[in-house]
Amino acid sequence: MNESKAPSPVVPTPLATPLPARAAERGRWTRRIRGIGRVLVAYKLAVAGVIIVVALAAFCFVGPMVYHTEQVHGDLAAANLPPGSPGHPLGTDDVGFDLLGRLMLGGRTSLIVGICAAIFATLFGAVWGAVAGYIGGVGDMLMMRVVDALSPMPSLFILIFISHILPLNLLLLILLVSFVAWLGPARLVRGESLSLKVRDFVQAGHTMGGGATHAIVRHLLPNTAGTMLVNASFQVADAILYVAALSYLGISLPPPNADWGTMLSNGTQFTHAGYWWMIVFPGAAIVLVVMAFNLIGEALSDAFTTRTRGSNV
Amino acid sequence: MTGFVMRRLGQALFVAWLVSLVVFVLTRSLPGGAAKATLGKEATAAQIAEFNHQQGFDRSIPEQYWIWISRVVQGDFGYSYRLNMPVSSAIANALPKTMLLVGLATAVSLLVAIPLGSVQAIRRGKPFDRLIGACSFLVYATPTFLIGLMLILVMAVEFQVFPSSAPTSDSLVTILGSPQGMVLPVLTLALGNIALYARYMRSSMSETLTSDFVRTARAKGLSRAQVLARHAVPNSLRSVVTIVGFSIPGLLAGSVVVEQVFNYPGMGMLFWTAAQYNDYPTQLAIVLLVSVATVLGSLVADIAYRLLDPRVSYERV
Repeated sequence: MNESKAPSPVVPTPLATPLPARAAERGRWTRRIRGIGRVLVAYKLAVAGVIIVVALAAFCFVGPMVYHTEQVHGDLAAANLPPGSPGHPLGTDDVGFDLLGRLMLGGRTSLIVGICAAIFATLFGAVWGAVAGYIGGVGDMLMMRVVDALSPMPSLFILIFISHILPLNLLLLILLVSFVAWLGPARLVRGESLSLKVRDFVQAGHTMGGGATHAIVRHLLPNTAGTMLVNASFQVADAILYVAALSYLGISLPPPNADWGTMLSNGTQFTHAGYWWMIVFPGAAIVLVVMAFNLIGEALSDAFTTRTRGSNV
Repeated sequence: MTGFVMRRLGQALFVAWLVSLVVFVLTRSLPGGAAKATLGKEATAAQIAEFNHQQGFDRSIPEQYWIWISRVVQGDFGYSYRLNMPVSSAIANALPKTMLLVGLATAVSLLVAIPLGSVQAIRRGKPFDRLIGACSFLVYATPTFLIGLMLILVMAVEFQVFPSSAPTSDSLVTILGSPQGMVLPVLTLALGNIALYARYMRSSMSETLTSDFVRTARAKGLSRAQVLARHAVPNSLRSVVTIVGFSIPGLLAGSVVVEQVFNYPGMGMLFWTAAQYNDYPTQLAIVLLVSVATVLGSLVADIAYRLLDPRVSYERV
């Protein structure tokens, strides 16, 4: 804010912008970041969401450095121990893995898959949509028909189908989840690009010799950042739920990998034995992280759309 | 209107055709070809050649597509070697069951979500709205199988009110004969949708309540109840209609998990078992059917939206 109002150090010429381009750029980013900050302060629940996400990330990525456990070889002598057992604060699972340590390890996979899939899907979808919206005409038609043809396909079925054909690894899982998730952002960003590309600042870029790439990268995509951000936070939540559903259906990364969904669906086999801790802890972790990302997405989408006025009834 | 419906139908047919292309590509992208998938890894080259000739896989790709699509149009989805019956019969067995499950779940969701969302909008920001909002958030963040499992634990194991598994009979009549078995599967599938529909109803209703015609209706002397029943609710239903149309694939996909939890022999279960045994014809037929159903669902939603709101014009689109 301050930078843009600061007196111009440049010798004033009638056509020059009041600030050197780079400083203006920096100002814009500061404003954008401050804008996001304001949003987060205005929405306490979103702050709670951010705190939960950061805490869980710290738990998963920093935790194992402090709390060392064996997560590759099981220890059947120490299987099914309830929480509070010596050396196992949250107990152990059916093959004797320490549950607290496994939650940390499993959380890494769940968070990495969720976040990477959301970023991949949103970026790819946004670029696809922006290009389609920008070029228009036949190209736009063809690109959007691809989206139309893929979006009615039942994504969970496609995931099950493909994961039975190809051996599953972390990268493939991320790609699979993003493959079914990029269509939404593609549609949204195309819609916004259609109205953005005729706006004056984009046209001005053209008159100054900027090409299509310039317009898309510097104008269309940055101006749909809000949409993309909202979309991405919901998609992290969706992706984590998707992966959990897949693991319940028996599709998960091969051992020694662990993730919350697999832990939870494994735990559900022991409900009748009364091993509640195998369900409660991974279940709570999933619910918590999904809620956190949904809260963030909710607040962001509220912030980027106008708020509803009071009721007339 | 007729023009709009015809144009929209044409679009839907075009998208359905594109979907068939994608599914065809999927069939032809199986590693080692469909022959290996069907005959197994030990199949000899001669057996594979024989199978490929029999199935027409040695012909040109466009020719293969033509043969495949003309069979599909006639309802012939190929033969399931695992089930030892035509795929169409397997689907004819499973489809009514999933439709029953999804249909009941949708009906229950709408019956609960519309009043719930409306009341939330009327009491926007009040404790009731917040409570329901928090519950929706919680339900929304819980994996479906966990909801199902908790319902089983509480309703079937603890209190023994409802059976923990759905009726597994082959005939729909037997299933309808023991409706208590359907309660938990329907409830599990419905809960997530209640959360979704109620959210839409709430935001749509909040918007309607701020509109001028509601103010006018109130000003001309209608009571609150009358305004709500005659103006606000009907006008808010439109976005719910659209979301119901669009949530069909989600419901079907959700039913994979729910059918698995309650051991219910519907399309999701058929697909899941087909995936376990590399029964590709069955899987691809289901993908194609569900996709086309989704295209039709959004077509119906579009037309319904148009019928419900004469202001919406698609003339220029």
